[in-house]
Amino acid sequence: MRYIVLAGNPNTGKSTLFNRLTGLRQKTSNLPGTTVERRAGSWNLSGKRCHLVDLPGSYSLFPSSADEAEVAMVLASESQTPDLIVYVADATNLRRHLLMFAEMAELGIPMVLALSMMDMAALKGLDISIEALSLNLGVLVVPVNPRTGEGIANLEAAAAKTTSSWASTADAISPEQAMAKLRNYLAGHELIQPEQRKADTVRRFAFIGKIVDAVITRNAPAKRSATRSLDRLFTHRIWGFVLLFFILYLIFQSVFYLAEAPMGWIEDGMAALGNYLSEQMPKGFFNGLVSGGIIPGLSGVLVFIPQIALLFLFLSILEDSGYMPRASFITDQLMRKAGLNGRSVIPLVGGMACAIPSIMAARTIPNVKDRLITIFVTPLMSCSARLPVYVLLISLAVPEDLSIGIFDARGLLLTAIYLLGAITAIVVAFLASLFIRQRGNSGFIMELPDYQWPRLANILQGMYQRCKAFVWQAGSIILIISVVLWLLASFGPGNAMEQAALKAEAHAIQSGMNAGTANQYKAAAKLEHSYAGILGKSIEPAIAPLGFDWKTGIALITSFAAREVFVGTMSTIYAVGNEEQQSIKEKMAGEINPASGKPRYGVPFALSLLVFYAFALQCMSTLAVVRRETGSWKWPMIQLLTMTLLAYGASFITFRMANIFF
Amino acid sequence: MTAADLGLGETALITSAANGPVAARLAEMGCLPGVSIQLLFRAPMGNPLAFAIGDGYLLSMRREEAQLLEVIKSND
Repeated sequence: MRYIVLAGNPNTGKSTLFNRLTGLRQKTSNLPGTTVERRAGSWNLSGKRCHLVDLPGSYSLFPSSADEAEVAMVLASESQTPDLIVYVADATNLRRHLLMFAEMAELGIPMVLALSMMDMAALKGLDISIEALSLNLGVLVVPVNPRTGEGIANLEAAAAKTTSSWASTADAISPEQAMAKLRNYLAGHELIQPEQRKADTVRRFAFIGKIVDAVITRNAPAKRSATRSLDRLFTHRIWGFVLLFFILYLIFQSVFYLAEAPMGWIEDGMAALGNYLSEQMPKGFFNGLVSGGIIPGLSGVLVFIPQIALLFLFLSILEDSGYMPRASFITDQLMRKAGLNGRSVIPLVGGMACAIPSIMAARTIPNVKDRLITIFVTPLMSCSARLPVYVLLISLAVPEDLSIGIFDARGLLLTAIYLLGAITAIVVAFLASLFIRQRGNSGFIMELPDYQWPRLANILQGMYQRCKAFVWQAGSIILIISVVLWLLASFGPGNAMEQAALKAEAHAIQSGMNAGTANQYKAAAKLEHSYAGILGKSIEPAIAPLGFDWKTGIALITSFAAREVFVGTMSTIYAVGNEEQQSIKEKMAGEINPASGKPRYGVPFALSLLVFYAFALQCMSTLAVVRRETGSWKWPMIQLLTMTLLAYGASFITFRMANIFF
Repeated sequence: MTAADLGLGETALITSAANGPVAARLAEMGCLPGVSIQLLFRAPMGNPLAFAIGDGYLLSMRREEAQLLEVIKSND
């Protein structure tokens, strides 16, 4: 199968083009993420299926950052040299976009040039002669519009023609020769002094400049770009920051409110389904497994979808519109003081959706130290997996109709817990910067692309794929854990559970409880003597100072690998032995601590657990991705230790303080 | 003078760049001798800076990086 790569500078519409060419025939990476990941798919080229790889957007083959190095690595791969490079260039700034084209052209791999943003170039008064450009560069040039699909058929024809003519041309170099040439070239890079590199760049730009001047006719611009006026607002010394905070605040509020109704439907629907199945199926083991294990577990996964979809929707809009680089620009100086870089803003903001793609996005940070610190603190940002835990705990701690001024108290607490994560990330970054040695040049040479309307189709496709990835990935883990947990909670050693139930029944009759309370009391006693209860009890001494009981202990154990399991675990624990399907929130709020007579899961408990989840690193995938990005287990282990200690300490203080007030 | 000394809205021509990998990177981003450079705006805390390079694409860099670019003010 032919192997083709898609290359070009960032912000050229390259990813949109990739979506166009491969459609749904792409391998989405296991991790929900952004364009920094390497995506691959199959592209039909005049009946032949080709393997198409989307390279990270890059300005030069001389790598200045980890993701640019990846481009060189893919091109120099031992196993395979590309048969064709489809190079995407922005027609509005042809000169700079052709630099990496010229660098790649020297490798001797066949190329096709796709020109995007032709409509924008026309608005700027640029008239480009495609034929002249093609003749001068010696490759086929095709104008494309990835948004509308215009020119795609021509691009396919050009690619097919280039690959077939290459195969039949006698004087073309063989793949082996091309690979050898590329290796020499890249090996040479290590040795090339910056002066040589600069001289080469000047030489290439001189060559490009002549061509560009010959093929472009400049007319008066038809319309002034709105970018300058928008920048006046978004980078304003006061309004810039006000808008940044307003945008972030708006996102949290929307995620909280817009997701509320659909989440309720999913919960109610799943509860109804559980009831229906439990009535229809014959009583016994499988009935319990389905209505007590699988359905509550599934419900705990599906209920996430509205929030994840909304959060990714807003983040994609910020990324697609060109706002993100401005956020980096205005915060760079502040971030520097904290030992970070303006570019850390993208991983940190992305960390509010999911730490995994965000840690990978840190590859765009050229400086090694800045990148390491960004990776280190990104998991402290509250990710979307924590959101359902927050929502459940906040609804336990704060009454529904409480408001402070015009603000809803629940929304405020949610904003506060997100801020707590963000501020801690900054403080930890500052402390870490004192210990980590400076390597390489710190820098902020970054393009500020023109603002654009976000592309709805692109955003929806991204949203769909991220939700799908979440359901399959997290869903399968949560489902397995739910089933195991149900088994652990339904069975105990010997006949300990039966004995506990008999004892509880006797006690209930003695103390004259009503039927409902007695049932619950009996269920709790049984759970306490199940395998799960024994497990939870064994860690209770360690977590009791934080205000957590053994039931929370079970949830902490099961959510160690993935924090989103918490809500599912609590649902499963409470579904065991309960006849009617209530929502998990009602069940937790209704539980009374027999020792104090107060609600067991009161305000101090909820706040303490809230803080614990904000800081604890309960995510196997994050640890795995940090290991991969840093190249050893050293950093993930330091990270795990730091965050666990932080969670324990902060939770302890929170519980003590809250007990004074509530 | 260097690009870091430009006033808001002032345009200049790049004459030469200092040595080193950062200057090599600036060259790759289009900051070459003979190319025009205009300071468009500064970040709220005075750093980094945003320049229009050549045909008018927007490039941000820190003050220290702008100091690597020698410029002469153009007479328009």
